[in-house]
Amino acid sequence: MPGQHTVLKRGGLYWDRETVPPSVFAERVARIQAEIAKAGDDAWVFYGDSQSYGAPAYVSGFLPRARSVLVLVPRSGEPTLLASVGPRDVPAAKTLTAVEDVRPYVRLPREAIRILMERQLGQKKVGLVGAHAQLSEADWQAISSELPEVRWEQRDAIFNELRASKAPVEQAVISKAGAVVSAGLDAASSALQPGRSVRQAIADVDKAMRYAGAEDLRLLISVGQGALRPAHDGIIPERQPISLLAAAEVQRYWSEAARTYNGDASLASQAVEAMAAAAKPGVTAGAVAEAARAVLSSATGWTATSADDYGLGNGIGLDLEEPPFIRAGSAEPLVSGATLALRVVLPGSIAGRTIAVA
Amino acid sequence: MVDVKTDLQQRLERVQAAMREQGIGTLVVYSSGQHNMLRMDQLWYLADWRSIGPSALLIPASGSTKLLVTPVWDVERAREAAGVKDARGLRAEDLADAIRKETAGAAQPVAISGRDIMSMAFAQELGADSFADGEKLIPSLAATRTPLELERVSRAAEIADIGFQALQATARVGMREYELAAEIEAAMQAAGSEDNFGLLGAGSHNIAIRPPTERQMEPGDLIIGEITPCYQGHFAQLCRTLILGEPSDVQREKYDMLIEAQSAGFEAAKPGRPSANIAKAVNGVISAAGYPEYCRQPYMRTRGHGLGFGGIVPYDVTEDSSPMLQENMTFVIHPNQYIPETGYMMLGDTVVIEPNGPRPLTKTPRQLFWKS
Repeated sequence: MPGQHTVLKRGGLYWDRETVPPSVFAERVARIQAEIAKAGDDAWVFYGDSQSYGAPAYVSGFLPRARSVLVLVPRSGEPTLLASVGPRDVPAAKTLTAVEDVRPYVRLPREAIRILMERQLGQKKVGLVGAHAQLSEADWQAISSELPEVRWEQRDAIFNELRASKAPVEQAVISKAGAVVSAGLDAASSALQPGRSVRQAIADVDKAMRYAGAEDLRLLISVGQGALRPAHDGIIPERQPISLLAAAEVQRYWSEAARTYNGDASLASQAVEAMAAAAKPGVTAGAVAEAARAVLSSATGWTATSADDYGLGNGIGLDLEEPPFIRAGSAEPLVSGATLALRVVLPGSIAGRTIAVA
Repeated sequence: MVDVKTDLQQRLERVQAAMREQGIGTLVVYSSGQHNMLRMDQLWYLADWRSIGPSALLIPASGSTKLLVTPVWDVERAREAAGVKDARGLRAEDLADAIRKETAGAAQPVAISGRDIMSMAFAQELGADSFADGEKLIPSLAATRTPLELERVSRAAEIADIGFQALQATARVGMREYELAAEIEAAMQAAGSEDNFGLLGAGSHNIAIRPPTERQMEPGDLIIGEITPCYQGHFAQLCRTLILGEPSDVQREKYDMLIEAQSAGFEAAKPGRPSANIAKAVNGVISAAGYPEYCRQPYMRTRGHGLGFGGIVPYDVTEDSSPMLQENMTFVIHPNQYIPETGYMMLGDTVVIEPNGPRPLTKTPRQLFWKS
């Protein structure tokens, strides 16, 4: 679920090579190159920004703290990474990625055109991953107009299939991110005291998560029956339920969970657990959503309306929100190894956790 | 205390007057929900509300605005914002269609700002090419701070000082860099900061500023920090250097040079003069000390930049900068510098331009800090 995007990722940012060894990226690049060949393409361009960087991070391990990143993977040979950093920042950028050829850019189109021409792709077939949803129209026009003979193909669907099932190494990192989320939710138990401002309490939660190793995080809070929102200056009242949704990023991977304080979240929890029980390989995302809706609609006095507004869940991994989206009517089947953030947000209560489909 | 609603209404009236002057019937201000220090957040500037998802503010040349908000559950927060009179919540997948329908019956022609941050997919769905270009209208009216903006930048500067105090109080040998960043962050959030373009690194010889890592700090480390909190939409920046141990004579000498360079920059920052003079003054001192090549790329990018709603006039302060300085502009002057003998050291303060020159808004003493 989205939270407030910030101008910069400012938690601890480094590559833990024991947790995610370089061989992971070598294997992924080889797998991508096989898909490039299978599709009859000559290269794929992976694009992402600081909010949604899953595509370039999948092949490189790199994520942009601000702005964007582009990785060119040719059908054979080594990838090239364009990072929105200054020349003096390239050594630090290189410590974050398995890609050897890291180049800085100020104006993305100019450097993207340059590397495509260097690789003699000016008249070739090039796949795009992440670009349709993330790359700005202005940058796209600047690139495509200078390369009129390139045949561009959308390859998001193939990429989403490749990343849908998380390998054991990925699930282990997501579990680490889950531990950071838990540290935050635990810290909230003592931070959310009546008389304090919500902002002060959230600052304590934020600190606990950063100390636990969060690269980035999202926190949304609701006091009483109100909607979730970012930290604010309201004062925490006595005897009011508080809903807190937390997400943390560790080594590029996200996890999400939610907890209710000073209130009864049994209905929301039942609905989440119903979804967790339904989430099996081959089951559709729509069927998982129906499991929650059945619990909610059978409970007197509740409707599924607010839960639907917030969304009942989605894939989670290198992006905070990935396919599949858990919503009524979705025919998308779950795959073994998929990781899902499940949540139910109701007025005055919340429940949520991240699960692996097995 | 400045009246928020009055200040916001005056901003809107200036924008609407400019629209009428330029023959624009309706202006659509689009926000992707992503936030960027290098780009003015025009929606936030007018609505006094920071978007979570893609959103659009529809501004007629006369009359009230309408805010289209995603995600739908965030509309309650939007309706409480001082600059919002009419807000409608909707799903992200419905936003382009809603903008098209709203503008179809609105005063023509319709201009749009935010095309540069609009994804390929959204631009195609919206038919962005059919809108006139309204990108520069609001930034051209927002070069100087209104009384409310100045009040908020000043508070952001106070929060930056609080952030550095937290750095001073908590930095210690053995602490991880990201733990120190967490301390700074928490202190500033508790004081009202809602975002931070915060960079922090440590080492015996830093090449440049970088994000905090898992590295544990060691005796003699130079901790360099660029602390940039945001208070109610407005950023302020403070750059300082703290040594975990007593500074060497060379470190003291070189930091004194940075203080002298910053003073020269302050002296050049007078209303009516080009902002490039600041960079020339700073570079003049550092070059005269024997480091002309380190005043250029890849060692140095800019001697300051506009601060307010993200990147604003005078933008980057370099020897090629063209904007003229005006009273009530706010920006940072930072002679941050790589020096071969010491590594990278940082010094920077947010200032407001007044009739006689700059007044620093950050109050942390301009000195090299150290703790044993």
